[in-house]
Amino acid sequence: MLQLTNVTKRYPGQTKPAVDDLTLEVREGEIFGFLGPNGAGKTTTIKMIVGLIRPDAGKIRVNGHNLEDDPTKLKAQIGFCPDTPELYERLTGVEYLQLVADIRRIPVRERRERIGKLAETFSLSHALPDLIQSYSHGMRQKLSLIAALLPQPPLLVLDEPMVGLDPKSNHLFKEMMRQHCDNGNTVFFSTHILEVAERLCDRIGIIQHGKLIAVGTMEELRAAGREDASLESIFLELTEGAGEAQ
Amino acid sequence: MTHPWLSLFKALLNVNFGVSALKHQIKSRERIWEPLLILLGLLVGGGSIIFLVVLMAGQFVQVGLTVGQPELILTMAHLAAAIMVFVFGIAFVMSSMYFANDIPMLMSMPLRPRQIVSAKVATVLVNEYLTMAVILIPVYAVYAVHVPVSPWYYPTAVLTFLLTPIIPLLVATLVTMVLMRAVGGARRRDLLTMVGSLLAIVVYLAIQWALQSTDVTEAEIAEILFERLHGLSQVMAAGFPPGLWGMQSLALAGTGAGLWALVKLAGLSVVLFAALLVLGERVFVRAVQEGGETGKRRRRAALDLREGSAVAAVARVERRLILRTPVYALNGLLGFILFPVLLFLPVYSDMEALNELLSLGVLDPMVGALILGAWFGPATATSAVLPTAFSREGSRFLWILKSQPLSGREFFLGKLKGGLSMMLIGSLPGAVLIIYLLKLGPASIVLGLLLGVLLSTLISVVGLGVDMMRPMLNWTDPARAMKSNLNVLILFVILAAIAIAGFFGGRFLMRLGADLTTLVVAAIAGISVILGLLWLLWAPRFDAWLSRMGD
Repeated sequence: MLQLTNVTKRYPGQTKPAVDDLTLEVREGEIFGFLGPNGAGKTTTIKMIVGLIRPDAGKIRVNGHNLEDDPTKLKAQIGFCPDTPELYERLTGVEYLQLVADIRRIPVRERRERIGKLAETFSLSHALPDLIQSYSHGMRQKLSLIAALLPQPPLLVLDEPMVGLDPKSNHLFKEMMRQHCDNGNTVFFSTHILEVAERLCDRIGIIQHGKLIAVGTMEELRAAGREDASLESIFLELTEGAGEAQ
Repeated sequence: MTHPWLSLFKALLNVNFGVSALKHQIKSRERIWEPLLILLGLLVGGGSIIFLVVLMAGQFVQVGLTVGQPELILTMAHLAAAIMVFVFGIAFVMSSMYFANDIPMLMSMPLRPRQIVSAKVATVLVNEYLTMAVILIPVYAVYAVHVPVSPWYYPTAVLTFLLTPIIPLLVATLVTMVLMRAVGGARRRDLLTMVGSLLAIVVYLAIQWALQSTDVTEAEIAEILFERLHGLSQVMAAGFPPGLWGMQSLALAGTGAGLWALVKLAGLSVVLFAALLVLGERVFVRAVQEGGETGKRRRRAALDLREGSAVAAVARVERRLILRTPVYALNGLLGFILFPVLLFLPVYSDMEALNELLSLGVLDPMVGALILGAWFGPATATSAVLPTAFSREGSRFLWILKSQPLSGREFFLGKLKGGLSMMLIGSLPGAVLIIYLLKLGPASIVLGLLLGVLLSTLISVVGLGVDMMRPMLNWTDPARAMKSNLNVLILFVILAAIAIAGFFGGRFLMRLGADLTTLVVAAIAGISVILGLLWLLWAPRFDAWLSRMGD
């Protein structure tokens, strides 16, 4: 579903690359958790996947579409939610979703059905006619997630999606992620909440200093150390080890 | 230790001019050609404006000399500067003080409201100095060349230049603060802000016009021209005495009267500044707090969803965001209201003379078509909507459309459709006024409108193309995306080049014996060809520009 091959990104004026020769494959139907300390390169990787910034080197493919050759078709495969939901504040929630639905060419009947269902799930129906500037952080996050889910994309790319969600929405969202994958789609998300990653993800990738330092299922990650180790202890061990090596 | 106000002012200036970002760019040697190109653009753009101002000022000084009042040009320059600072100052101050992203951060710091307000206004003032420099300094120089001046003229000129924008800017700030406080708790705050700002500007211009156009007898005209010292200037500056004081401080430099004029200018500035500090302390915080207390505004029932194309969706959002964001609407659409008013007022006061001229049949119908068509040019060019269409997305909102499956072409066309439709609708009142005043016939109207629509489209396409190539995405204050955007200046330079080419092309055709109808048709054909060529050249590059945007 998602393939990154030798992807590198260096920001102007930085000596070290933000993402360094990253190669990774995310399979169809799996929830992939992307972990790493602050500044490890998670958001940069995500921004490259969704076409917000260009990699300096390497290839990104989603569902057979190459970012370099056909960015529009690649983006049509993805639903994206960024880490900070900055939305057009002077649009109403409905108007924002209408924009996304028009761009995604979702027929009126379907969009009405999907928006109604998603808004109800996230308890946002009442707020949709209001201007986004009146929304709280959590409500903006919910709207951003609804917009990402609206086109029922084969790949959901989410940067810290649970931040700002209330416990009920958090729980429902995790169920929706699982359901999305059970329908044959894929979820790629970054998070700092290791317990969520441990319980929810089919596979996990850990990135530090722009390099992928570990990837696999929980069992595969545990195989390298103690059998009963939690993801937290594996994460700390790996990132501290990699930090010292640097 | 640096005083907190100074630190704040330095930080605001740094952000305003992107000093740290520029240093970083130079240090990292990334796209180093860009600042050089910008500098070149500034030199060419600023140089062109200075050249025009010098030409016009020279003419006015000569006219002034014939009636013994060469200082008239100084009065005119100060009045023009004051109007510009006031009219555009309202939008800039509003954006900087009430809609900037940094306000919540500044409000949470242990700073007095008056410190924030004064630092913000001082930053706007620095911008005004840069704008005024290309108008006032050439005028001061032209005056000194044509009229004998005392050695005190030069130091006085520096002081007068520094004082000139302060009064209109402070008046604009005070008006804005009162307005924002008044509309603070209102449900339709954005709409009231826009209406209130427009009303303040129109009232200001109406007062200026009313005080200038009082009926005078022939005997009074003779007195104004030949007996009263600075008679014409006094009539002209009746609505704004500081304009007169600015002129007097220079024309009478080195005399007691000149010094008194300077003292009055400085004195009023100090009084207004004190008022700013008092008002800043009392109303600024409350207005900002009320601005943050966003009420619920149900616009229409939920899930009223209509299907449309991606291009139409982008265009619709573009229009909504412009119309609902006061600083964008004021900066982008003000000219459509102001220009017809400014055009109509002087013509209206002398309608008889115009009607007489038209009844003589001296106005060729095709000249009317050219005037009608040409109106769309400045109307579109002075609105910053198109050359800032991508910049306004900013680094905050660019992800919304860039992460969607939109091709560069769709993105461009959506922005064009949204912006151009506003330009054309906005130009209509002025066009109707021209048709009415010049009593244009059907042929002139059809050709004039066709020329106007094409001209507006050309300016929009060029402006949008420039902004897509190099959007200014890093801003804290939304007005900066429009007002401090060099893409607007780059558009002017390109348009100047096209206008010069058009002028010489027209002259060439007339030498070949072409009549006015041929000229209008040639202009329509020429603009169509340029549009076609631009499309062929740019359309294949839209995807690459979009992909590079914000990278």
